[in-house]
Amino acid sequence: VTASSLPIRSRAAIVGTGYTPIVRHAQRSLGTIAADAALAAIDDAGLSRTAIDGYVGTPWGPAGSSSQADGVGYVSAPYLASAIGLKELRFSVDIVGLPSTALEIAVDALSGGLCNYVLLMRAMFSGRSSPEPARERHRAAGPAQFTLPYGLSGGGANFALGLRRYMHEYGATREQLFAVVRAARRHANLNPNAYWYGRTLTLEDYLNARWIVEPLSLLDCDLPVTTAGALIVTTAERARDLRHRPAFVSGFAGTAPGRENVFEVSGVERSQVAVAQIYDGYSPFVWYWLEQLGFCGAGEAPAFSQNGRIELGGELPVNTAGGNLGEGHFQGFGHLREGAMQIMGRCGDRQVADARHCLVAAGQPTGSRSRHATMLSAE
Amino acid sequence: VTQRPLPVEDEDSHPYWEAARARRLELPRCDCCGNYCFPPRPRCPRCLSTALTWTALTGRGKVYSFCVVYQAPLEALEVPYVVAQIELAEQPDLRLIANVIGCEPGQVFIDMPVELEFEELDSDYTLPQFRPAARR
Repeated sequence: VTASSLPIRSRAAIVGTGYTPIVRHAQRSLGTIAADAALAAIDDAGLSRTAIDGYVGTPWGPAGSSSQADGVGYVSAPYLASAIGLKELRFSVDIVGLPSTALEIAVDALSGGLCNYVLLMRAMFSGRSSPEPARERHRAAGPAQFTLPYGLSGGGANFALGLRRYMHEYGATREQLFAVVRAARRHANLNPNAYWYGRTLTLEDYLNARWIVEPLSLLDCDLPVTTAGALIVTTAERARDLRHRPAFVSGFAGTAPGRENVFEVSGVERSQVAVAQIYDGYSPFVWYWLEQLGFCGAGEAPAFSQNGRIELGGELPVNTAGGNLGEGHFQGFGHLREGAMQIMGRCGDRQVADARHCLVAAGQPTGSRSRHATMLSAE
Repeated sequence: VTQRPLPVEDEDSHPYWEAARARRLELPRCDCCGNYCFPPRPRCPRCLSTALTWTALTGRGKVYSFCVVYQAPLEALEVPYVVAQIELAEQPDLRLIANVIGCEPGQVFIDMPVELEFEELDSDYTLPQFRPAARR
């Protein structure tokens, strides 16, 4: 009997986590940082590296690839396997996609009997960047020929267009949007590893922050950082024999809007979700996701998010480690790791009591680009 | 002087830029379902017909949404500037990206009526742009 005939929740669990300091620019190479995170995760699970026979990496985010070299701007499976001497890999793959997509692949590989212990990796590199200098006249090919000549580029301006329209349709304000940023920054103050740890932010600070692309300011955009994280994923059976309370993977919902939903797949009701990790590359994403996931209706998220409802102690604490806006831009890996840590009961000051189910929403909640919702559950 | 990036036209977009050079806004329109296709492609994404006819548009529209860029992706662009989604009068979901020119960023608003304008980038390229519509 292969595990793929079992319900999703009985297939696999996260049993170890590893991470490294979150900094803007690192003195050490990304390859070394990634190796540290991998070894920490293996150790955290109480395993030795010889047990690791599966690897799923996400060296390139959905938005594109790094032009830098392996071990410098990104870290590939062969690089990491060589760096920490993983000699038993039977299943190893690098994907262009979200960490939660990597988790789904890991669960499938474990269910199909391809391997027993998967190391799931994400390393983020933040270089020192500046606007591209005008050495020669830029040219815009493909879809960009209709946007870049107008100075529209990257995610920020697109999401600023979306936010302006949303604010217009629903009467939402930036004062209301502050609730999302305030929650992220308050939670970051309970996470010593967060970039914004130890720094307070008032409504006045928020409203006075400089514009990047109005109506998005500097504080609505996540912060590019350098860091690495690793998770150990194994079969549900093996998970029960390890040292930590496992975070079982109880459901996925894929990229097709409206076709499936994470609550049906996992059998977990919205009211049972004790805590949520919601991708916040830009602050309004949290609003869009809350609506998309049905925690409130269309246009209701600005009101829903007020009065501490999405903060620790509230009805639905969101991004308890700080998320991208508080912890740093980790392309959804930080969300996945914090979700697992909440279910494992290892979050200390920011632990949500009786957190039996945590929803992790990755990627952009609007448009046709990749999105992913994962439910993590206790036994 | 703002050195805007130049579009690189391809098989699908050549007639679009050719029309712009002649100061017309044209898009492929589906002979079967009447859909205007943007970005221009040789197959209607709504009904999958390949029978399309390049058709001139009135150039009238309104601002669907807009943003004001303060941190430009390229050094060559002078900030701040407005980037807008212009919803064309011909079809509700037909939206082009353009700058709203001929007014201050603070004067732009959602549903603002706009009309077509052309900006010459160089001797080869002319860019469709939009300005506040003249009062009628």
